[in-house]
Amino acid sequence: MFRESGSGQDLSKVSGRILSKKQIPLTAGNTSSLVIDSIRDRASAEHLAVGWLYCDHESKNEQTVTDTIGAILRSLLASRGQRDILDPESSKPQLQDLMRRLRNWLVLHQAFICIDAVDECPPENLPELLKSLGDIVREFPKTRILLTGRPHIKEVIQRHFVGAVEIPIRPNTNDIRNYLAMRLEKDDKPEAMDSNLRADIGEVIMDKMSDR
Amino acid sequence: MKHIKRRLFEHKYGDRMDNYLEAPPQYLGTTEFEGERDQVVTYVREDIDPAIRHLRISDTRFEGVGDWILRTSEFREWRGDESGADRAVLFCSGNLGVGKTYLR
Repeated sequence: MFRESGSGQDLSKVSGRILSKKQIPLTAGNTSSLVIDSIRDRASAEHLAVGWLYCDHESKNEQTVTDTIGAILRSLLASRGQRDILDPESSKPQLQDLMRRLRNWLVLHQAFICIDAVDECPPENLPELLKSLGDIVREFPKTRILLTGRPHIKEVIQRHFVGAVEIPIRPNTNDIRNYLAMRLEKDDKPEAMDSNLRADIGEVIMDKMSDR
Repeated sequence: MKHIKRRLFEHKYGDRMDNYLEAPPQYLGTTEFEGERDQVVTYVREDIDPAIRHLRISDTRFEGVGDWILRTSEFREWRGDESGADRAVLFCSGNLGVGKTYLR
């Protein structure tokens, strides 16, 4: 598939240089950050609070249910310009304490909670985390929760949240084309580019995307 | 530094990590080395912080990409004012990018 183009530039090198290091912004992290920002834009005017956590299997030791609820509580408080009274370094609050504080706080605030890549939460913690969030939602039905993750955790989520609505995030071909055009424009070796190479790069990448 | 995980360093810095954790004694205490190590430690510390992580992800977002989700009826209903525990959760599912944020 890779061939020498007229300009003598190896296609794989060019597409590699363009895409290997840079985040392609079509990720679930992208969705979460987009939603967080869109809600935050209105939050200050409407007395909403926004709390979030980006899960990451690399830091699973920091992702116990207590840590996760603690992080969400802190970011909810921060989104209303409030600070957590407890210093996370000096004392290790119990999950029960955190849940009680979260409940007390939700009496006065409507919260949007976003957990990105919830499937990267350690599997042994996931049921308890979802149960805790489920309890919150039943007690405070105005609470809104956004979860992102790979499709396979859908069943676990639906077990805890019967009415959960799924939106499949697929790379939208327009998104990819626009992004590619932008990246190719910013390429630091424009002299290596010609229309054939540009078309080939597009083809290879669209091909790869459809493999997924 | 105790809760900064070696794994995390590896993830972000590859083999460079060893230069910081197992530096030969003659480098320890030199300003250049300590300064750079501080930067690495700060970066990793910050990366665990949800607020900073969010800023970093938002910063790399390409204008307009993925916006379609904000216009879907599912999102708008979820975002709307109607209360109800049964409609509280929106699940955005996707293989791309969850844990594999780089296109290879």
